[in-house]
Amino acid sequence: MTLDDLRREHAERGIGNDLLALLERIVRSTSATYPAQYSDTGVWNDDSRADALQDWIATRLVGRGDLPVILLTAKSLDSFRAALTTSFRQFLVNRRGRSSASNLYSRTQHTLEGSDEFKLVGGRARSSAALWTLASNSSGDVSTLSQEDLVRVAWELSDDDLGVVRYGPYSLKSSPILRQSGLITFLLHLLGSAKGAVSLGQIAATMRLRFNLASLGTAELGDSLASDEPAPLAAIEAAELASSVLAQIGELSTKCLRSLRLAGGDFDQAARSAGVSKRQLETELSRVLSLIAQDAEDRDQAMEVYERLVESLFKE
Amino acid sequence: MTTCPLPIDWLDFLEDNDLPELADHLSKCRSCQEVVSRLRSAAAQSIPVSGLSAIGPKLVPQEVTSVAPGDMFVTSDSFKSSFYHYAGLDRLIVLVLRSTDEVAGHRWFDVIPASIDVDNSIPTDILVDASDTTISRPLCLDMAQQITVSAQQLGWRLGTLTETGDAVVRAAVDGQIDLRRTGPVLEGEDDPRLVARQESARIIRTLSGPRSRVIEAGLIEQAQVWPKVLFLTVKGVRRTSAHKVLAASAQSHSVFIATLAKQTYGVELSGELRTDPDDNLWIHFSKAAGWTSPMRAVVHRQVGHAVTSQAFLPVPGHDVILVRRQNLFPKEVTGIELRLE
Repeated sequence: MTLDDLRREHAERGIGNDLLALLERIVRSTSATYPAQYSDTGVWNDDSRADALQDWIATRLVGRGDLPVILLTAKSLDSFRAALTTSFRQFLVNRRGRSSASNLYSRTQHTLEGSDEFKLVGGRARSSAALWTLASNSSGDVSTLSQEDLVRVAWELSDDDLGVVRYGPYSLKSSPILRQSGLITFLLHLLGSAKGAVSLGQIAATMRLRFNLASLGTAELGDSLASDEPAPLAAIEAAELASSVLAQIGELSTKCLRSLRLAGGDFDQAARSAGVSKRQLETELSRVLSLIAQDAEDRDQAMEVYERLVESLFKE
Repeated sequence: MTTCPLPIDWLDFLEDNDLPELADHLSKCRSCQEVVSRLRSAAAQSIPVSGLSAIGPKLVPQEVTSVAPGDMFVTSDSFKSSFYHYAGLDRLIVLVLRSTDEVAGHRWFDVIPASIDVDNSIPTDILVDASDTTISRPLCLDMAQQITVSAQQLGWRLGTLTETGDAVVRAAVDGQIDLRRTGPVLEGEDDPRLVARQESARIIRTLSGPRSRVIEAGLIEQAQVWPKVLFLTVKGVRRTSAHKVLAASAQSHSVFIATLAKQTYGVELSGELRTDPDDNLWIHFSKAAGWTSPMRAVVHRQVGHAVTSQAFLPVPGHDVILVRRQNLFPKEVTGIELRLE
């Protein structure tokens, strides 16, 4: 089977037998390197892998039209397989990232509904068009600020002001970005400066840009806002997370981590030992820490995962 | 081998052990051993899939018969001319911004690289929707990576911007950025989204090679009475006089001066590069005469891809930001291409 065979099959039949067989193998092999929490059901089995395959095809390869572009731009079968693997990895990570963003939007809605400091001035309470303002605002006017203005207002409070707990390359992606007090401070500032009522959809868009959250479609945002309780992200055991990270980092990173441990944390010595520049060593370490932070529940777990990961490199 | 095989390569390996190169890698790579271990226990059986029939929107590439602003192309995998050549390059989608000039027997165009990887968009990208182009899929336009390519570097024509897409791109080029159309803020220089761009950055560097060669050879000045592009070289020099103390200090203090690479009649441009605490790279113009129209700077660096600035007007004694928040130091700058708007 060559790349041209696959191109021909796609031109004639869309996803035919050969393409489907390849996609199935990409999903089966790549999903195995991710913790089970990346599946929709919390476990990787035939059903959840089949669901992931269907979702990937439906949302990205066909729905978004990525497959013909990947087929067209690949120079070889190997680069086609690599591009599909990247696409599926992004699909899995994005799907989990959306859960995290969805949690925050849902908490925002609950906070607005449950606090005496805010009031609904128009629209249905549980829709992205619902308009919210401060309870102390006697006017029912709608804010005329643009999305850009709202983002500028959102940036007036620093991460320190808000106690942001999820920021930076080592941020803990699955933990709440804003604790409850920070979320209230943020909403009071945003709505207080908006000079009128702001829709939930605008608040969500502002939070996305301010806090670097995954973008949700209108329907997903609606589902998120309509849910009664925020769905907690499933926790991942430290051992499983360490194993998964090890399966994703590759040879160069493992070499750098080993060297750094053997050098007792001395970056210069570790870089020399690993045969890389100090900058490259730092980049590899940063990449590993980012992967850990993406799923660690808190800093303690992140530290535990890192320890387990490094220890596993010295096991025969 | 520093690049590890893909998980699907290991699946092939498990089903067909006659792959000695992989076996050799596996014996040495702890990470791949873990992949294989997880594959053995978790993914031995094929996923039962049946009755899936997915066609989706077609993408019908056409021969390049003409090139116009707003057109979208897939770049060719090879290029051969008397002054530059490459082959076996992955292809990239590009959006044509404008026709630039005709030099060295080639018609040149400013293009913006585009990607389907909208998940990894960053603040300097513009996101276009499926309705913004006739190829009907969301794309991420890498505005910071604008390059100039020859028409011969374009492989197939894919489509064009629609009226709304054209308005979005025009506004962005004019500096009117709709924040809803940009990617989220970066989380630092090691942001995974930047790492994900390394492969396309490599392709972009190769694509920009022919034009760079033409500029280096001075062909552009020969071809045009009044240049639209000028090249500045950057050199580090030790401070003297008032800065002697600093120069003699343990942290020897150099300044980085950008001057015209070739003397150009009627044009004077030079300045000093510096960074600020927010990681912006600035140029302080000491001389600026002859060129009085707005321009953009394409900053080339030792490692990584070139970065295009916002439009500016050089004024002696004034400072301009060339690169925003990228932690790029003057000593890393290899040259600056100035392009008249």
